[in-house]
Amino acid sequence: MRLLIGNHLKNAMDTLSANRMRSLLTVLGIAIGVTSVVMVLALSGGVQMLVEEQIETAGGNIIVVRPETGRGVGDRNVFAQIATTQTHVGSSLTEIDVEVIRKLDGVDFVSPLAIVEVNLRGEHEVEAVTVVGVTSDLNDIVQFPMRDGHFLDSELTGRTAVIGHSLALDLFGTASDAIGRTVGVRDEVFVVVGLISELNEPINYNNVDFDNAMIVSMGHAREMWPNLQIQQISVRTENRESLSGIAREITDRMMESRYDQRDFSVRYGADIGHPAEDLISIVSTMLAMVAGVSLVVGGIGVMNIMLVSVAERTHEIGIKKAVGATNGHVLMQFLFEALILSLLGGLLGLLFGYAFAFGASLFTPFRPVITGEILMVAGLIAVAIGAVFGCYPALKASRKNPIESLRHYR
Amino acid sequence: MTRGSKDIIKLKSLTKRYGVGDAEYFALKDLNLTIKSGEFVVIMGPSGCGKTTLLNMIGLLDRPTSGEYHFDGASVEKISRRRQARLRSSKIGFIFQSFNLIPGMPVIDNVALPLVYCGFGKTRRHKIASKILGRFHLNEREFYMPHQLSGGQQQRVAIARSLVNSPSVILADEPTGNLDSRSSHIVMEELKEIHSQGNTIIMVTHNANLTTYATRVINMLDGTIFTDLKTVVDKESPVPKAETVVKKSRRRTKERGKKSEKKTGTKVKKAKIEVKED
Repeated sequence: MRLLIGNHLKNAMDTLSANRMRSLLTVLGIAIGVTSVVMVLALSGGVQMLVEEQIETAGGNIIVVRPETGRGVGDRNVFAQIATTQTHVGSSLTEIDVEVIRKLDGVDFVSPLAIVEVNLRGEHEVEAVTVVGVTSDLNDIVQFPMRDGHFLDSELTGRTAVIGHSLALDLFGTASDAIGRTVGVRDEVFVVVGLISELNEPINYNNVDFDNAMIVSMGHAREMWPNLQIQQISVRTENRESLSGIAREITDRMMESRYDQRDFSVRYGADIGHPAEDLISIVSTMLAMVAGVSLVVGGIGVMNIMLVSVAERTHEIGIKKAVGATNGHVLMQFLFEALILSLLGGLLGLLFGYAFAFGASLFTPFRPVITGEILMVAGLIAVAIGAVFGCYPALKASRKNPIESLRHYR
Repeated sequence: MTRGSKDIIKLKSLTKRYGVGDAEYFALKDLNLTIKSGEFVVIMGPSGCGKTTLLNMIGLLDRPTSGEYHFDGASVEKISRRRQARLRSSKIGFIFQSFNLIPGMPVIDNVALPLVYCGFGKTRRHKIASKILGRFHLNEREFYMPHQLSGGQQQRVAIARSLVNSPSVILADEPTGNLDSRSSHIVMEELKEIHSQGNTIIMVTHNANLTTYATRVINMLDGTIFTDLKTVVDKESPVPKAETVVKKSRRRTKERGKKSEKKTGTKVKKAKIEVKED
């Protein structure tokens, strides 16, 4: 069968431009669906990018170990994950793991991140502040820019703390002379020895917003909260070439001490940024589902308008068949029309999606990304919608009886 | 004018049945017909006698319930729809009562439509279509839309379309049914011209006057051929054999016979048309 692609294209364009309003509305239906998909993908891609960039600027030689279980009930349940995603109630990581990793060759710095949320008293009371128990190694891993003072020192035995910029403002109303002030935690008092410059990185591979956190040493944290859970172990290796080897070694050692029970994950490189388990990925998955629904609605719009088009042009179909069009020709003609509708929708949706994503990024710390992947996904979605929902009307058109169609008048 | 003796269409006990049981109804019943290339066949008969069904069957738009159909020497009643469509695009030209041009498509594209399905490129299509339109003195109307033309012009465009693929047979279903007598005359003259160039034409009509153009007149009744007469004495064709001729038909045959004895075929046509235009 001859494909006559040029013909079908011209035909479809003629028809669509003859019914401009109708076509536009149908295209808009698809565009809205694609818009939401593109927006979700661009923004979640932006988050991933952000983390990757952070790791890159830190030298790229970061490994993180995260617990895999201990999230409470219903691990596989999306909703349970949303509720518990950030903090692992019963983490599988222990200080022993930290020591095991520290002893490996090629590992420069290791720090656990044990997180607890408590109320702090400075000049003002601040509720539910993230307190992170770490070792002094963390500064060598993250390389905090210090505004005042210095990071935690392993030599110091007193209760000292490093606080973030925003937290300083909340506690003392000023960031300029926080050093030396005291922060009350329950009955104890921590002395602020360091103030981190404004980072504005609420999303990072440590899963801690250091602007709003107080960093204390692991030992002190353990004293105050004996059943503190380690949410992550951050590791910095000597160089990035040895990353995969060391990651494998960490896995092996930890498996040993766990009798081969895999309740943790070791990630490095782009994998760290990959939001496979994070809140963002779950939210974006759900948003994508919602977008999928709107795509189906758009697809039904295409089908509807194509059915109208087929009914309107029954006579034309009859003529074309009489002068020698095969069923295939007629099928392709209408399929092309549906495809063009949905492709235009995809294109428009891509533009809208990025426009909205950039608009939304004004209020978030990350920028949306434009990748070939997203362009391809948008294109594929559009083609799939056109093909799936254009199929039935096109089949209907192609199966029309030529004699009856010729008798059919508008 | 060369009259080939080749059988272009051969129908053998062709039957088309609709419905079942009490509703059973034969549009065509055991119909036998052979049409040689170069003939101008006019099919007449009361409405519902199966003329159009027969034409659709010949044009491969419809499939018979039973019977054989040989088109150009090959059996075609059972070939795939796709191959039937290919035959339609390459060997059959259709002319309809209501012109059936595609609205919103310029005249030249309408004419070139059958070529699209034969796989011709755009430039070549337009070249051929333009040449054909020139034959019908419609060159200045090439880029008009169908609705900007008069009925007669539209039908001439439709005839041009039916000719554009140089078909083996042209099927016309009441081509003058929607036209006034003047336009009818012009259209029929065009068909005559086409026929004189050696084309085979099969035309269905209600208008008895148009039989003057024909070389053969078939009268149908209730799905079968009632009378089958040659109007022009053709050395190569056998003497018309009327199998079941009732009185009325016989009388008509006699008259026609007399006329053709006196005058040549073309003169007869002229005379008839003058009468009609009065």
